[in-house]
Amino acid sequence: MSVRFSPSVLTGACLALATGAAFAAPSGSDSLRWNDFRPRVSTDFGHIVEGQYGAAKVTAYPLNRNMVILEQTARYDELWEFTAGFKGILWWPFTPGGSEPHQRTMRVDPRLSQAVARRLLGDGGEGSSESFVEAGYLSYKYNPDARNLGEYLHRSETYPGIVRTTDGFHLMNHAAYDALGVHARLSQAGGLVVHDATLFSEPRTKYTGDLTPGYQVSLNLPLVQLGAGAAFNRLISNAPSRRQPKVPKNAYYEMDSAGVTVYEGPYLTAPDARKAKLTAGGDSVQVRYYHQDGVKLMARAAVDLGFLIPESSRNPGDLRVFAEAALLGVADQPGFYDDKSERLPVMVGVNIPTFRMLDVLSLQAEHYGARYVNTKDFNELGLPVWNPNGAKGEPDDDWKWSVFAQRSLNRLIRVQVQVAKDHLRLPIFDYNISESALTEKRGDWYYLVRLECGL
Amino acid sequence: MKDTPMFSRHALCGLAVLAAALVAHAQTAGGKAADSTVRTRLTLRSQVDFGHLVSGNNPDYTNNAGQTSAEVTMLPLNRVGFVAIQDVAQGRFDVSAGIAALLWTPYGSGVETDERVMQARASIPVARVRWQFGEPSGLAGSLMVGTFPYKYNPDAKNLGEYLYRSGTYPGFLMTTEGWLLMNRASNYSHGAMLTLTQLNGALRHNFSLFMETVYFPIGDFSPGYDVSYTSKWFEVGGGAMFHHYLPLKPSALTPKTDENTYVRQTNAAGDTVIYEGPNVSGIDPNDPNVEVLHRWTHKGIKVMGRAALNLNHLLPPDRRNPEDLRLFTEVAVLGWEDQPFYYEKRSERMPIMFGVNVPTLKLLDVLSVQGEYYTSPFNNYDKYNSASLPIWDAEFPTVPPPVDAEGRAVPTTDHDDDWKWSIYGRKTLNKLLSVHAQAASDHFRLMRGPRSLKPSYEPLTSTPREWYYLVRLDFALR
Repeated sequence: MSVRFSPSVLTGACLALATGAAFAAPSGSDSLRWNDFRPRVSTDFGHIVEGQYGAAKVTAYPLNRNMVILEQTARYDELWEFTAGFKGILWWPFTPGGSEPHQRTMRVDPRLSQAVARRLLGDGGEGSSESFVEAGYLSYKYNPDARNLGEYLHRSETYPGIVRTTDGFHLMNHAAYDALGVHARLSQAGGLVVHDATLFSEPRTKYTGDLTPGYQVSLNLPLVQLGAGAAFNRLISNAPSRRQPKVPKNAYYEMDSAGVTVYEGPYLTAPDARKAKLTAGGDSVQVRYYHQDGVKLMARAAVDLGFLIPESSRNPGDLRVFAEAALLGVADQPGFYDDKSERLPVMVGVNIPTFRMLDVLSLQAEHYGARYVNTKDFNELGLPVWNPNGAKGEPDDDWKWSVFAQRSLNRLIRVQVQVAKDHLRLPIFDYNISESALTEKRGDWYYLVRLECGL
Repeated sequence: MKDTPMFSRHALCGLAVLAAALVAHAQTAGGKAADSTVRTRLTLRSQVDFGHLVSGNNPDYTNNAGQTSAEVTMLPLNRVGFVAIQDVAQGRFDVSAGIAALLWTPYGSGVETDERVMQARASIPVARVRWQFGEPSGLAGSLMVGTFPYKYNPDAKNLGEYLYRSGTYPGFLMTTEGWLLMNRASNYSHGAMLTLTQLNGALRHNFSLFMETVYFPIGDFSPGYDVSYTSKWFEVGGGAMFHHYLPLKPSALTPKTDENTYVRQTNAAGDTVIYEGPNVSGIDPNDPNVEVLHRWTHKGIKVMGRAALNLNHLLPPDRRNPEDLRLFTEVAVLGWEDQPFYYEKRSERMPIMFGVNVPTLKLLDVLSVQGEYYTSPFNNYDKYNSASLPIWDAEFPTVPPPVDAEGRAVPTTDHDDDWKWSIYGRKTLNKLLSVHAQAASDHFRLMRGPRSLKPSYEPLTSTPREWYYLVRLDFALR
């Protein structure tokens, strides 16, 4: 599925419609109210206890981050909410050995934490905040149970089906999608049914700026919550041909010799001796190219069994059992993407009751049967293919797990702990992210402790 | 050295942080009812630095396009900084969060545009949480966790403050890391610090657990301790820092490269030493006539002592500022243990700083004059900074190096830079505005970049005749 003409016009029209609708709604009183200024600090400390970096073993590798967020919110006219904030992230490039200073020394990256304008739909009274249109740079999260694993719809890729648990800078408690775009929410029957429509711009992978429309619906019953959605990855592109690069590395070849198939498969998995013959072409060679755009589907469910615990001994969210599954690309493509079960991550989990010792203790597990793990050609060239290097060797590699706990100490301070074997990827000095997860193999894991302070 | 991951120790660190926070919680739970008010304070500060490297020396000039001589004259030194720090406190907890931006110009006359035009850099000047406990009249203190500047010597306006902001092996000294060029005599620390005070604050103990953030192996922890006693007439202090004593990988502390190997080579009969020294010429360590005698290590102990005589009370009260007429000194040993060749004499690893705050009859807040003597025979730390080896980048007239009568390698040594000096003055004009000025021949380094950020591997002001000046306009809104 793709749009091959006037994408810019279409995008502009969408934004104009959304903005016009927001402005056309009746306004309330003409007032500006500044909310509290919200400073926050978090200090992460931890290690990759066992991990892999290509063929090399990574042990006791430090994981440290420091983050400062200064955020201000304001409300105007009772119908508009504005949030803007700066963020500074202190981080270290991933470098297992000794190296030049710029490859290893701590850095600080300035960022926006949020820059969002939200127009409430309704009369500005109680309940109005449940339906709105918002635009800007925002943190979008649809699955409250996805503490680390899950939240697939927007933060995973389609071809190749990269599953993410971090962007390499936020190492924990950030199971959300940092989105640039528009989000509209319509809440019905007091929040029983909620519709979310999104139009997000691709922020970091090649080619940035492609637009992905999405839609989700959720049903929120007292004991059961259900949700489903779809994201049309890179449906709108200013240069649709770039989604299907016509280069050998992105090709799937069929080569015949006297009517007999001598090779059929991706260029990247072909024997070296065969590659030159494939690219030489001729009548006996048929070529097809992989494309980036695709449809992602997601479904999720949660059952809230908290009522089984005495009210005085439970925290909100205790004893929730939940699951999320996604299909990262509905359409098959030969070679790398000919089996839907290999594009189907499934997350399951439970919030263990701790009788108020902790705010939350979340256990999660994930099964993802992708054959490949290496995304070098996607990271560097934007090619929608897996790199065959580092293919999974054992079925155990399909499993991931994560334990997350949080304890609020007082109004200012929270302690969070995460122990996991997940899709941990770290950026090196030139911001290239790891080609595969650093905790990919059986026995790999890391831990993180965070001290988070602020209002 | 056994190469086993030190995970258990670091798990302990994490658990310690957790335990401390929980203890803190327990402590505050009782006092919550007494003070649950949240107090906030925003500080905005801007600094404009103007100055010149009047006369200097850049031994790396051959690598820099556009510079044809090692001599550097009238090189502009300009920086503009902006800092926003928000403090939030509740009860005995307080949080400090800051973001800063700095306009700077890369040093090195790079060919590409971005290597010579003004750049902006973000930083986090502070991001820490603190829990204070006790009563000042008895035992009191605080526990800080996060990123914060730490300074133990109030008299070190520029030179000194050796314990945390100097190297061990090699014992290089810093007065700037190449970004902020003045008023920066503190350590940018990442970790935890426990402070205990007794005798109404006169006796102060600081226990630190700081992580290595800049040099290899990053992530190692170095425990430290310093103590000070302050009275009306004097102040004394001392401390020790156990550099890389909590390593992630002990084997990384002793790199096994040729350059980090001290070898002895004999003739075929084995009765005459042909060469003894660092293996800088690719001698095969597996040769039967070659013996590996030593590999240098990053791990070491730094010790520091300091003293100040406060004669301020001899001045008329209406003619003195609080810091006037203090005589002070600080000395450190950068690596207690000797190691061959580069680190054979402890006296060559002992920087000594001394100075006085000259009274100005209230014309200035402070006028600090400092001198320093450090007789290290080497001053190039590029092998440490770029190759992550715990050795100086020693120069040899030839390769293989010349040897003495006993076959020991003879390096080129440099003692022209043993003496340093610095003059620093500050005047507060009003509640918002203060002016700082500094003239110095110190361990002045500038940063190259922005693509391959790297500070000068030697100070640009080497001999006492090479110097720079800086003037700072400091605006602060609190």
